[in-house]
Amino acid sequence: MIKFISPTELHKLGIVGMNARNRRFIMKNNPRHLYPLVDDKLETKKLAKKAEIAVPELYGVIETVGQIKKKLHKILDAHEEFVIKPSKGSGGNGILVVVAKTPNGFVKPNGEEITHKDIFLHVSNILSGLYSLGGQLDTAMIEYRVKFSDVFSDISYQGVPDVRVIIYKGYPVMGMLRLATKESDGKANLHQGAIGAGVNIADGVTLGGVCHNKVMNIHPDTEKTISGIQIPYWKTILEISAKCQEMTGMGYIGVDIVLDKELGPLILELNARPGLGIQIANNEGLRKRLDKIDAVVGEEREVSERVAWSMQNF
Amino acid sequence: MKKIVFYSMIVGLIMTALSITIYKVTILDFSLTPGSSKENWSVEAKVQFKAKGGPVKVSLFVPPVYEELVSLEENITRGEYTLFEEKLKYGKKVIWAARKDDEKRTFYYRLDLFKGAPKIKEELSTVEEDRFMPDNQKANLKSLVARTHRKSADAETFFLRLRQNLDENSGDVKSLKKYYKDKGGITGLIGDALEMEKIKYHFVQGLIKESAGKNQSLKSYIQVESDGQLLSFDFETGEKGLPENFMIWKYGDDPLLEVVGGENSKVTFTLLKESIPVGKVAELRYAFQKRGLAMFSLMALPLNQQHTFRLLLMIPIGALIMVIMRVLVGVTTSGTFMPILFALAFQQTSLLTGLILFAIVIAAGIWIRSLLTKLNLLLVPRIAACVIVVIFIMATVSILSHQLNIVAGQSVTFFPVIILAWTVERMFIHWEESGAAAALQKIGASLFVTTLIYIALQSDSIKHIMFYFPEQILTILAVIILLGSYTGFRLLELVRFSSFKEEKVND
Ligand SMILES: Nc1ncnc2c1ncn2[C@@H]1O[C@H](COP(=O)(O)OP(=O)(O)O)[C@@H](O)[C@H]1O
Ligand SMILES: [Mg+2]
Repeated sequence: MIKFISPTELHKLGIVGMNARNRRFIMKNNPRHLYPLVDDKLETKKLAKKAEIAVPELYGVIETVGQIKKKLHKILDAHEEFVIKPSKGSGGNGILVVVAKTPNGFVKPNGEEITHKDIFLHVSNILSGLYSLGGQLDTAMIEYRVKFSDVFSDISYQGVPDVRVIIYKGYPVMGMLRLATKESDGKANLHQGAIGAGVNIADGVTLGGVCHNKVMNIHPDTEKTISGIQIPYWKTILEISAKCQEMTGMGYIGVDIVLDKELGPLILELNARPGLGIQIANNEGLRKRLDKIDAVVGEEREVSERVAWSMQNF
Repeated sequence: MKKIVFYSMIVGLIMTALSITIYKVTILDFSLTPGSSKENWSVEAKVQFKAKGGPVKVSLFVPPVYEELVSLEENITRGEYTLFEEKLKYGKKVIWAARKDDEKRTFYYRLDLFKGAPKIKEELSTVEEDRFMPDNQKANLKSLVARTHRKSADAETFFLRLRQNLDENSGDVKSLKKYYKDKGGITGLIGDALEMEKIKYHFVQGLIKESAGKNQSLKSYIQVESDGQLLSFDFETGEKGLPENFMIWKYGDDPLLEVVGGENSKVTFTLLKESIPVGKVAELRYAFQKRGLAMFSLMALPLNQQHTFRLLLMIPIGALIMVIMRVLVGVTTSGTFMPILFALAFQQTSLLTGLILFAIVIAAGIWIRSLLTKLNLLLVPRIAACVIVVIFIMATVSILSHQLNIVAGQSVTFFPVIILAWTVERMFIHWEESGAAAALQKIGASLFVTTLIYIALQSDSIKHIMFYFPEQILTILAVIILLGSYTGFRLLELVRFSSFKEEKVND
């Protein structure tokens, strides 16, 4: 049986639907001309550098097919492990993670071995726009592979979990920890089958999780409980996220942050159209929180004050 | 303040549309519903032959056309031939002529009709003088007529008995049939027998308008005067009476199609029931002209342009459905307006054929596209290659179905090629990225919306409203703008967020 919930009930719960998100929050707060800053991960990286926000180090960029032969070798030779991704990709598509080298190739997180040729093919696919929005031409970026901190080793399957924080007009609104599963293939994107766990904004402790819009409190692959886990550096994460929002000039964004074992929180990417699944993961609607922020937004505050406000109120 | 501007714009649009419509209905007597559209038919005769290399002359009997009766679009294809018309007493002949030709040819003659068949004054052939005939055959004929005469009472029974006698195939009948073989066949024989008996008769051939469809041939009837009454008989079965929806195509026993300088000639007919009352167009055009308003009406346009507008005016309906499905239901399709274009294409192919052809082309396209992957082409060359692949597949489907005589398959040419190529490309990438299930789901959603639009476009009422009240586009525009500002939930979100309900119950 398909279950329904009535619109009035959803409204009462303060759930934000797609139409409301697009019209009330995205279109009103995110000017079109700023989109390239977040849709292109290279631009985001540049911007973050300027704002002195930590990102995974960029090893190199491949822009043309010619560079595959000339440049890619050198980049790959210089690093033991790395991640290749399309700079305009989304939803985890086209991301190749390499964790080790062998004499004649590379190793993926699941232990599978691939050759140089496989990597060249992958990069040329990226360049031809196979993974980018609307099939436009793209560039491939090669960056530092994030090594996730031990806190998560029990609840993420072969992939770096990322923290998604939604920032509205400078204030953290809601957070979610996304955990890779076997199905999501080492990537922490919800519609690839990753688990989203709500996070208490006040203290950074995980609540229950959801997978494909269904409640899931035990990780299906590691069989460990998802709730009750303290995310380290929580306050820093919120502050970095709030800073990111400032640097883009957009009013409503989703910030993806990963936690590196040694380097701490790093910005992975920004999102001008963050998904609505975060409401299911937190078992709470966004609207009441957004309204609350709207009520205080006139008061000028520093980043740390705004974060403190959110931690107190949500 | 801004809200007031917004809503007054909406109201303004709707009021404008509404007042024009009310004016048309009350003052100009426009009808809001399509009248009975039963009487509107379009007939297409398809002439096929193979030219022998020398001069070619093809003549086809077509029904007479009376301006005041038939508001028609008469379309005649001609290729490199010259086209003539020859007026006859009942109807006319269309003649195609060329000095030299050795190709296989297909010509079409298309006629749009309303108010049934063109009425022709029913005049029976007068009894002609005896034709020249060898004495032995004349004797055979005389004995056949005498035999039939003896066993019948009047013209009706004479005709029926004659048929029986002809079926019995006695010696003289056999010899007569042989003799008549190249002199009009059985028709000529019956005609001569009736003439000898001094019975007035004529042959009529035509189509039954009940059975819309392709590849029909004319049905022959004979009409006989009996006791001052005109009786009609099915020439094949002898059944009495003309079918109710019989449309007379030609009178007399001259051949329907004559091809000089060609062989393997044949003519088949396609009957199409038109849902727009063509006749209404003429009537209303007249009403507009009387008031000097014709300039403002689509009906002032020539018929073939009106035809284009009929389709064009349906596109807003498709767009409205797309918007409703996206904003109110939450269905996303592959390519925003792909369903509209395919719904339009399916109008030509019919829904089921369209869907099947679509599936074939897309499946083949994705397969060939997957072979192209290895070449690692850039985007624009890749789409261009896809376009060519799609055209190739369409040609293959068309040729194959022509060979196998599947008429439906040939309509694949109505598909919009570029959109098809994009669909193949998008589906392929989606397949690669998110797997077959996701790709099929997406294509399924697209086809679902296509089907909805198709059904809407098929509706006679919607067609009628959009054509006679094109101002209603403004209403549609108003609704679309209104939907564009809708911030409520989508239907599918009520399912997506249903897990919130469970939690509440548990509390
Ligand atoms: N540098 C990296 N090191 C390790 N894993 C990464 C790295 N970049 C991305 N990933 C993995 O891929 C997922 C998606 O990456 P992201 O940069 O957010 O791209 P997208 O826009 O496709 O979501 C992340 O959630 C993470 O699990
Ligand atoms: Mg991401």
